[in-house]
Amino acid sequence: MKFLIIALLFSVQTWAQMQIKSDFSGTSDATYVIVNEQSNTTECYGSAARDSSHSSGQQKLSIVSGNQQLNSNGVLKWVARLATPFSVQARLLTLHASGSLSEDKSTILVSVAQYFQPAKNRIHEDHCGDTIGYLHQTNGNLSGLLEAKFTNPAGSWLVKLNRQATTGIFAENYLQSTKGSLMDPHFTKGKLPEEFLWVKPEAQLAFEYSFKDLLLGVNEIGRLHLDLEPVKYVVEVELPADPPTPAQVRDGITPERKKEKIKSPYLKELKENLHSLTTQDLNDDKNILKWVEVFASVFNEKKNMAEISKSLYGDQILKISNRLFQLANAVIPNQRYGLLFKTSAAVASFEMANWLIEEIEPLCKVVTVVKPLSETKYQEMGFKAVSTFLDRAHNRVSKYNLAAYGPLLNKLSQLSAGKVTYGQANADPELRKQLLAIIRLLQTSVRMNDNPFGLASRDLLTISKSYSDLSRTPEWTTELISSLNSLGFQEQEFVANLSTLVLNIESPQSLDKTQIQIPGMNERLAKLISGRSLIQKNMEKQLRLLSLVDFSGPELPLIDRLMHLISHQVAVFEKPFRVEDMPYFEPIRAAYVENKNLTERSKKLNECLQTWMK
Amino acid sequence: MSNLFKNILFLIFVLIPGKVHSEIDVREQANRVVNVSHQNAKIFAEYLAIRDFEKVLLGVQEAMEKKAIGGGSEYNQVINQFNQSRSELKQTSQDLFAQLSRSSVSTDAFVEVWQKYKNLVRQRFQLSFQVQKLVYDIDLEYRELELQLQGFEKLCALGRSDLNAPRVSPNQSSPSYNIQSHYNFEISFNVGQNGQSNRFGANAQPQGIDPKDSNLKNGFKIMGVVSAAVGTVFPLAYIGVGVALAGVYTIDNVEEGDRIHDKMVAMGHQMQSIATDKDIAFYYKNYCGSLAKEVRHFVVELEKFRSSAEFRESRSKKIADRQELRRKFFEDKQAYSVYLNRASLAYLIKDAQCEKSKEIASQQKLKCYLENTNYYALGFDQIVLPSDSVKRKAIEDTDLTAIESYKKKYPPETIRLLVSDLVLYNLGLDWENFINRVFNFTFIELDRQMSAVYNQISSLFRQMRLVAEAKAPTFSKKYPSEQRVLKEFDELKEIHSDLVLTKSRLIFAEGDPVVYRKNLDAFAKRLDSFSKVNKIYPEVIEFSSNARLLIGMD
Repeated sequence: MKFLIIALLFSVQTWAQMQIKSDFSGTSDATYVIVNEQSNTTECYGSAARDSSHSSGQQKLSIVSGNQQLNSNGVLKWVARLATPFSVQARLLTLHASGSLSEDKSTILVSVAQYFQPAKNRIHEDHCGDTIGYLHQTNGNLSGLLEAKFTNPAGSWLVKLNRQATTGIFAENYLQSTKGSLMDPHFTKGKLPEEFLWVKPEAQLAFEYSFKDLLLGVNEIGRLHLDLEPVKYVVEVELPADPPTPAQVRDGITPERKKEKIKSPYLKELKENLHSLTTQDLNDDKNILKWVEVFASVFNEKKNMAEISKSLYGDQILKISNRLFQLANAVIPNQRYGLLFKTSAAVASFEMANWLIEEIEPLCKVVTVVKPLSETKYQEMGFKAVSTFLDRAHNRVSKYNLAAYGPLLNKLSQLSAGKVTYGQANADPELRKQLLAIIRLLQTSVRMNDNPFGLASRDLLTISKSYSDLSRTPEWTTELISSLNSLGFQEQEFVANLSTLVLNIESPQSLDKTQIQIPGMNERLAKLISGRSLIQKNMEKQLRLLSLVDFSGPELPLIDRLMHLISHQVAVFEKPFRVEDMPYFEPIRAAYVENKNLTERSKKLNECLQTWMK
Repeated sequence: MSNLFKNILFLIFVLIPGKVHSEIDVREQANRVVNVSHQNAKIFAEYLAIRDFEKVLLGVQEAMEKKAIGGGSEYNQVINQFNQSRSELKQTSQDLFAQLSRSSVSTDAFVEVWQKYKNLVRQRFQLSFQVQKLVYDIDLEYRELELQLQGFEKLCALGRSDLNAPRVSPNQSSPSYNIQSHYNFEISFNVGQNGQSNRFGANAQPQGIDPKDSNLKNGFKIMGVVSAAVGTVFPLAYIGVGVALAGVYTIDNVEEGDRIHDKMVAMGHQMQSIATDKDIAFYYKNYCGSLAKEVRHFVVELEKFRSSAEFRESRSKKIADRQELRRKFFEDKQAYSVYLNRASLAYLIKDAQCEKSKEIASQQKLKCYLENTNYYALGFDQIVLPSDSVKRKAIEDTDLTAIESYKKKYPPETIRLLVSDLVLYNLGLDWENFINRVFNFTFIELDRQMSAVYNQISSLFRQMRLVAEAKAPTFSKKYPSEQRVLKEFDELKEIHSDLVLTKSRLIFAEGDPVVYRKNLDAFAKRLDSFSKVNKIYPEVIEFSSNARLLIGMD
């Protein structure tokens, strides 16, 4: 008799789930004998029909399910019972399931064991003797299936499967299928102690073990131990050891250094070490796997691409993407992990290219804008219109030099330190001339620019009316405009206060004896300078178009970058290969493209490029 | 293992039904049954273990032989195909370059060429994956062989009792490039014939050992036939567990009273202690240790052979030296399987497990039958024994002697050595060179050509954009190049900002007034001319008038 048991482990967690499905059956040949061991005393003579109570015979026993749900200890039981002529639990099959889930690793543990009842069973006992049943079982066979299912975490494409601790029948050839993996069965033999599987995010990965009529002869049938972890770059670091305990000092034991796994800066590897990486470096298994982990960090965790885009300019991302594409096209001198490395490099390269394209793509549309100087309306390709306004706003902010306030503030500080009064300053014709001249200069300067922050804010406002996708979230555009206005206001206020301070020398005599002081003015200037710098940085990172430009290096025209990406990174993803030509890569490509909705975007991009040629 | 078949015969004499005499004390009889059952369980376990050992070794050998990596005829052919594909891509690349170099390319023609380039990129990408997959497949197959060997070690650690379960046999593998490796463990009985020898003998000769050495070649050929004949056709499991219960059936139903009571008690005792599947697994585990050691040795050698050129050379020499011994081993092995199976048939006959005709045996799924004056193994007509017990005994005695002599001659260590010779021979001396050839497959020239094509595409694309821009009614003709105006305007503002800073320092007598004056004059001139041209823009007018305040300050 077969029973289907589904045990759902840890269904609470939202990011991953595990399930175990099991179905066992089995028979054994049982031979039994019942023997009466009775006392020969007079009292007991004739108390039982000794001869008639002897019996022997054979039966075929089947195991049946005892319970259909895992109990609180995670145990399922199957029992084979001899019912007549005496009742005994002849064979017990137990399945013990447990599992653990964390963000980094899912583990399923299942152990299956059988137990044959000892041969001697006391059936009846009284003062005149015992009735004993002997049971002997042979050919205790077992059939069954066991399915262990994982749900791949969201965002995860590449997972490492480890089954090194699996034993018994689960370590042998009874794995019938690995469902849910994107990979051709050729690449997932199911026996390798460690494998890297490509799986769609949130897809179910099922390992089905099936066996029939096994005559095992052992109690410990097997232990299934599957660890599944999304691949990412994690480094183990050694922490300082705890100070030795008195007992350790006495015994001369040095405490062991602790180890801790930290998520390492994959970004640092991409930025600093990727370009010097040669294919020869990849001969070493440890090294090549490190790089696979670095690449997988790019596409296995959604938040990482956001981090990359915040930390790097588009040009830097483009360079990394191009380097990855080169590596994906190389022949890697590592037999075991070469395909894995190439595919990871291709996917990471595409992920980055895709991010760049997402940034550029909205700029393809034609928008109506007001010309900055003539203030007449015109229609323009998004690229140009946006770049005109953003370049201008960026220039206003980045080139604005607040250092001009420095000499005046220095002078005022000196006067303040020297406890000079307004009256004394007024009485010094040279000083009076200097102060009035500089304040006039600064007032003029700030007025005539109307000031740069305000103008930059106006530029952003103008272009955002025609083009709403300036930044990835509209909040950032609003935030930038508001920050610029606020900074402009602060500057004007600062200049006004500075002017009042200086012009006090011309004020009525009431202030003559008052010492010149500049309370908080240096700090306010420092705040203005840092505010300018921060806003410049935010513009460069948050405004799509500016974020594509590496301000420290030569800029490649956006349209050329787009063309390059479409001709290379996108080209290898946008159309299917024949599976027989690319059995490893094609299923992964197909799933990845579907997930990224590339078809739609690819069409738009081609249209965009062609618009430029007509 | 040494007394396997003597013990089988002993068991048969003791236990077959009817041979248990009522005079013998039933308890003593039960004890004997128990003892014999354990002896048999042990024998059977040892038989299973050695069979698994040979099976795994020969399985690896056979799988390796089919790969022909060293000689590499098939793999070499694949590399040639890769070379061919690369040449074709180069040609396509050259054609595209030529097409793009023509003086005028229309937009439509450009799009077409661009699409072709993208296809080229895809094909180039694909080829690199195909080359990579070749080396992956080779490694995968080795790993499978190693796993197969390691599987035996795991099995040893666990123990087993079942003859029929497909243990230690690898999965079917289906690599591409038509280089198939079907690790076929089907045991076929083909004593005295060479029907399958071509299948095994036809593989390409590996390099590293002189392929012209015909003796050596023949030495390898014969092995294939023999490996197919390893094993036995009969379910020896019966020995271990089935027959041991024979005592139970000796109760005569007409017996009564104390007699039957004693018997029942004896049987109860027997049931408590008699060998079971678990005992077989235990004995298997006990015996297996020494065999597992040999298998481990094999795994280590395999890895060493892959990684060390020195080891490859020295081992290859020994392989050549042992060719005669190897040839003899496989011959003996072939004969041994005949003796072994005939002994099994003899056992079945004595255990009365043979039917009276082939037809009935087939229906009953029994393993042997009687026809005329001979017993036959079902499905293996070559295994024959006469029904005449005297004649049969003579054959049995000869068989047992031969089996014993084979065991002595070929202990596990010798078997491992001879089989690993063949595996390593097939791996070949040239293995590393072959892998390096694949790794040295580069795309440098093709990539250079493709890069040139892309540069052409890119430059043509730029030209087309310029033409398109010139035609487009953007950034109007009325306001010539407002972009340029803006650029100059920003420059002037930047200069102005610098001048303000310098001036603010000069006021406090810091800096060089002559330099400042010079820069200010230059600025004033530039501002004049800029304002005149751009006086239509209010912002320019405002800037100009304010900047004059700075100019007029001195």
